[in-house]
Amino acid sequence: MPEGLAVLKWDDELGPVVVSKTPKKIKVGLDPTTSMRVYGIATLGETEESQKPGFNSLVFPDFKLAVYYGGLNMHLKGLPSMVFLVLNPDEDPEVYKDALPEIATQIFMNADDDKYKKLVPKLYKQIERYTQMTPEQRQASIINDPVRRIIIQTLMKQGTIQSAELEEMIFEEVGKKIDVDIILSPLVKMGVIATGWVEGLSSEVIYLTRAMFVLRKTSLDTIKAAREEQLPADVAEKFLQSTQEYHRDYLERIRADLFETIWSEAEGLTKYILDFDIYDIIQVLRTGPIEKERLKVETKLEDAKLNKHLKVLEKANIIMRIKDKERRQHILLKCNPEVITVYPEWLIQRTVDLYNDEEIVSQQAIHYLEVLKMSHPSQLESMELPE
Amino acid sequence: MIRAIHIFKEGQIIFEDVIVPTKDLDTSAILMLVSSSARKLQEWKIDSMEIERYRYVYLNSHNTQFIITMDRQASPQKVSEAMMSLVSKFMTAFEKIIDTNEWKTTDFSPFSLGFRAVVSRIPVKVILAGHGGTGKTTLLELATLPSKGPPQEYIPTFFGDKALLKADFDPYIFSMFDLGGQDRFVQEWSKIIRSGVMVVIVTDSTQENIEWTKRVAYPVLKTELPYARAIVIANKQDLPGALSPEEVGAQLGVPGYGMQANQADFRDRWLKLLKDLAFETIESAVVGEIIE
Ligand SMILES: Nc1nc2c(ncn2[C@@H]2O[C@H](COP(=O)(O)OP(=O)(O)OP(=O)(O)O)[C@@H](O)[C@H]2O)c(=O)[nH]1
Ligand SMILES: [Mg+2]
Repeated sequence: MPEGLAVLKWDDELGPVVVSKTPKKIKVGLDPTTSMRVYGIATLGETEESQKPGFNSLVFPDFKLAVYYGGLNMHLKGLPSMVFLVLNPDEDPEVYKDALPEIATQIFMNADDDKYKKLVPKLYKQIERYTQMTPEQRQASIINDPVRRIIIQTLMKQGTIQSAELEEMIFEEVGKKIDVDIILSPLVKMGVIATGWVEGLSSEVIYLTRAMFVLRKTSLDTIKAAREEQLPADVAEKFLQSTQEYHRDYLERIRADLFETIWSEAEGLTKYILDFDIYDIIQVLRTGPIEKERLKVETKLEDAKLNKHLKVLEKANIIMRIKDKERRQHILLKCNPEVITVYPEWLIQRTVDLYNDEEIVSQQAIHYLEVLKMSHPSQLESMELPE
Repeated sequence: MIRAIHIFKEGQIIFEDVIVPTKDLDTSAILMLVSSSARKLQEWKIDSMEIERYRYVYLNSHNTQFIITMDRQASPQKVSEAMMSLVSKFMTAFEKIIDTNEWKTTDFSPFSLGFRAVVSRIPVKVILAGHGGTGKTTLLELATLPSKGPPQEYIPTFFGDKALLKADFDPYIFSMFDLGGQDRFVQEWSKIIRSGVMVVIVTDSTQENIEWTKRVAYPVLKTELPYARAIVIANKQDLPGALSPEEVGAQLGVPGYGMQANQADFRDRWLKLLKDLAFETIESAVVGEIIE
């Protein structure tokens, strides 16, 4: 567990100052000489034209630091620009390489009116958990983030966007200017988007390489268990009927309006995946139905907590609780909320149409089609973007 | 650095506290001009006016005009906040008096205490600039770590360092920025030195170092801190062949003062120089006006 989390900003008179920290009494690693040096390491060689926000890890005799620097712009404006994670000497800062930028982004996005100060203790608790996230949870955290969600939504419709446009879009959404690179970096890492320069355009272009969303899938293992009579007959019957009905209806909604159906509940569904206790429950249920008593053992949750979560999940149409004749409670996955990534096949035709209608810069369209070709699942081995 | 406060009512000064006077200016004429601008301001709105190396920050409340004189190079934002808190303080104490004719016979001098308390809350930024090895960190530690004694060995400063210095400078406290002087750090100075009010140019009193200072340090300082005050420290006077402070100063176009920073007994002289620079009781130069 890290020893503490601190947010620093640059004050013209005072140099680096700690504006928020948790736990409140932490001192180690936060003295002015150290933080000045860290600013130096982060900003060395940086200019306003070539900013280099990013992660650094530093080793000192008595402590280690994992730091995330927001870039010269934030530094010069006196906004929170540096997030320190103080570690004891036997921890490895690299463990926090993915988690810290996420935490820092939350802080930087809430820089106005010092809103981030309230977040710091919560984020500190989250950071340990973040390092334990599964890849699916990381994807869920992207979809759960309102700004990134809009980016994915937009790109799923039109395939590409210029970063200047994107900046404007984000501005309209959240009412402030946000560093687009910070927002995009985990998406690039996950292979969901690619970025590149197109001749004649003054800002970078962002391309969708994989669509990513949450879907309520049927839980095949649960259905199989019900069909193969691994459950009391009345329970199985009740479940099968109900899940079939639900999915028939869900499918109809998807046919009627795919976008509306998946995005209207994206935030809610990802919230469940991101909640570690609830996610544990879902993970167990994905392998098949289970009696409540066993579920309790498997998830190591107390009764009250487990009951609360089950109630929530039932209400969200994710699980069913059915009692058999012997009054044993069976828990079954009615639908499986799963993060899906798919190759955006439909955007090939869409891009061609946009190109023919001259609604997109032709170079941008051509470049995107190349990107789509390169990132086709069959090409994954040799995936590399053209210059 | 806040230098003074003047409070005007009906065109006349009802209170003033001048810590460091402004030089080379017709101060009373300027204050009259500023106060008449202030009179036209909306209640509680802050505005400011720059004249040469000074900035006049002013506010109008209850038909009373408050004018703070500060160094133009210092950051105006903190002074604006200070102005707000000062005027609230003043009004809490004198609101009734200021709204009646009583103000004509009231002694406002106790307000000095409140004013100076606010002044001391904004540290005065001091920049130690100069080439690697000339003695900047030695000077910083000579001032801020008296019990340790100045360092004898040379450990190049990475990027920069800083420390607060509280001594016999009331009501001021200094925020000392010790810059990394190796060539690769000089290009980083502009990220650190903004709002520096006083610049101490440190040399080791050699010809070579004087040339470096003019060629490398001056362009950055002149661009970033044109309104700051500067002196030159002609350090390492003990070394054979050291140029005299007068010689160093003359070549650099800035008044020079001799020093031996690695000697603990030079501490008093060093603190006195800083104090005199702040209170403008010794010769100094304005960075933007340095003629080499
Ligand atoms: N002989 C002599 N040596 C001095 C004097 N003042 C400082 N020194 C020595 O000169 C060296 C200067 O070291 P620093 O003060 O660290 O140099 P600096 O200017 O901070 O250098 P950078 O951090 O690289 O910019 C140290 O070894 C000091 O002990 C002096 O007056 N006389
Ligand atoms: Mg040094």
